[in-house]
Amino acid sequence: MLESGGRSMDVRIEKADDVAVLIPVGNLVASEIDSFNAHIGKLLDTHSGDLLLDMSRISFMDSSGLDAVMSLNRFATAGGGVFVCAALPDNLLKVFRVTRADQKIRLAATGLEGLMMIKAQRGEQS
Amino acid sequence: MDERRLTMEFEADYRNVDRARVALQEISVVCFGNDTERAADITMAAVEAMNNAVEHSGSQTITLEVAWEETELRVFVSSGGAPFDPVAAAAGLDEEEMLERDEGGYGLYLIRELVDRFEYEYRDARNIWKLYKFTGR
Repeated sequence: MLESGGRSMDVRIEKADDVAVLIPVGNLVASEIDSFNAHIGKLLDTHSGDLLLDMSRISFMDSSGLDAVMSLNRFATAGGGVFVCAALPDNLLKVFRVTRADQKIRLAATGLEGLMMIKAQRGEQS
Repeated sequence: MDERRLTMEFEADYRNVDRARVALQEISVVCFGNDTERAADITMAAVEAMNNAVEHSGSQTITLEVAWEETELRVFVSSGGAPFDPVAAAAGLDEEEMLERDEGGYGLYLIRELVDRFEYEYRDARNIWKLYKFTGR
């Protein structure tokens, strides 16, 4: 029998101009979703604008993680912001493709490309 | 390669799913070698099956049975609770529905798409989800 327990996931939050850059570290899975949402909730209390989710430090993501990303996308865009998910490892990219989430969320190959996409989108809107 | 087996029984808790996933990832590396995509596919499908059992079955325990040999990796996930046929449920999902879906319900679709064969059995008051992935050898 296995024991339960473990530590909560880390989410680094940085700012690039007016864009909040979120960098979760670890596995975006069911056991970590409460911790992930707690980090994000704190950010969203003070930030209502463009969001870049940098997934380069995520090793594994299940459908709970995908749900969390979809929620974040919905939250950001509902408030008029631009949401981009960047730097997906191959295994995560496949999850987005299989579920067609890649057609509902803007994806960028790198964090820098994601910031440029947000900037370009802002340019089109102004 | 002779068939090898691993059986794990654990309390229905997401942290235990994490531990089972790590064990399965190690087996997948042995079984699929450099084919990391196929290894990731079966691991992902198994995690979705275990998560579903934790979230919906009401079962106190989950059993993970893994068997692997030269040509195939088999993962059976079993839990107590009322009968639920995931194969029939997944058969009703299509790309169009995935495009319209905003949140939730991706798990069954992922399993169906990521494994080579998906079967279900209800035996001795337990739901058994059977996932198969060929090694390609």
